[in-house]
Amino acid sequence: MKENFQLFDIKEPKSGLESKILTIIKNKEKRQNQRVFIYSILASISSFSLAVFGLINIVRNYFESGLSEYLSLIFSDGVSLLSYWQAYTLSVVESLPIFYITVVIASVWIFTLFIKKILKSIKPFNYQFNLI
Amino acid sequence: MNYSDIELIESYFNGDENAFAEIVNRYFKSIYNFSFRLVGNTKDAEDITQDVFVKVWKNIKKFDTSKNLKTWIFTIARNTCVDYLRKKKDIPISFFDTEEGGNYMEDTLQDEGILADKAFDVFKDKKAVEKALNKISIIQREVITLKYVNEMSLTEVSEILNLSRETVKSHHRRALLKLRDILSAPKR
Repeated sequence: MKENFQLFDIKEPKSGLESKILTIIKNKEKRQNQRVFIYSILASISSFSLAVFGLINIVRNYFESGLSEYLSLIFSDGVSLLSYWQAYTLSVVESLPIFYITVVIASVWIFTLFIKKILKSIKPFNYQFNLI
Repeated sequence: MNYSDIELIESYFNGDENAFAEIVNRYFKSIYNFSFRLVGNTKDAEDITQDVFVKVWKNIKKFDTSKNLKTWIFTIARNTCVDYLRKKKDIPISFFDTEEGGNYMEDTLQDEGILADKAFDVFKDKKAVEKALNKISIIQREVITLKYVNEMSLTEVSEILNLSRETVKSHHRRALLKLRDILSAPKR
């Protein structure tokens, strides 16, 4: 049966169709990378700003909450702290700016994530498809 | 070196962009031929071939490497052609509905007894076969194209068309009979 159907011509597509397909994909990839690059730049700037904002507030809280005094006790009266270490630890924890520390950690994590994306999206900009 | 489809996909996943170019190189002619037989003109077949590979590129990360790449690409091609024909309103609402209001599926199942392998001397004239192919239903055209132009097994065809092997077999038989009827009809 199959022999009968050898009569079906294998149509040759217009020359250049393959390179046209690859060029379209390459351009789409380029546009996609450019979009990712722009979004990632914006996201990394935002997360960096947030990290700086968080850090400023941590430093401010360090002095305002009395944390600096608590910590200086380690050097000035370290021996007596050993007997009150539980109360001391609780006070230090209470005076920690947990919210801003979380903000800084999260924004640094987001920042590194987007930096990775930026580096990844830069790489194929000058990429050329080569047939194996 | 001749890499397997899976090796090419793995290389592509590992960052080798040329592996994707090789996938395009391997399948673009088959997809073009398949699309051409379904839509009937070179311009649209080329556009569809382009669309198919853009879709392949967009979705390749979701491709399950335990599956067959060839049938996956052909499924995308088939869906793209169907969408195109629907847009052009060349296709009945149900794939199995005939323009006369009948149903290919029912017709096919009624014809189980007919042996299509008989009397195929009529398949001699290339152009006539090609023309006759355009006169049969889309589903039958798909089966014939996939089987005889793209040289696929009925199992692969059934995977692409998302039909049981038995149904594909019936469409195949029915398509051959219809082609024979068209080709043996007296020319006006």
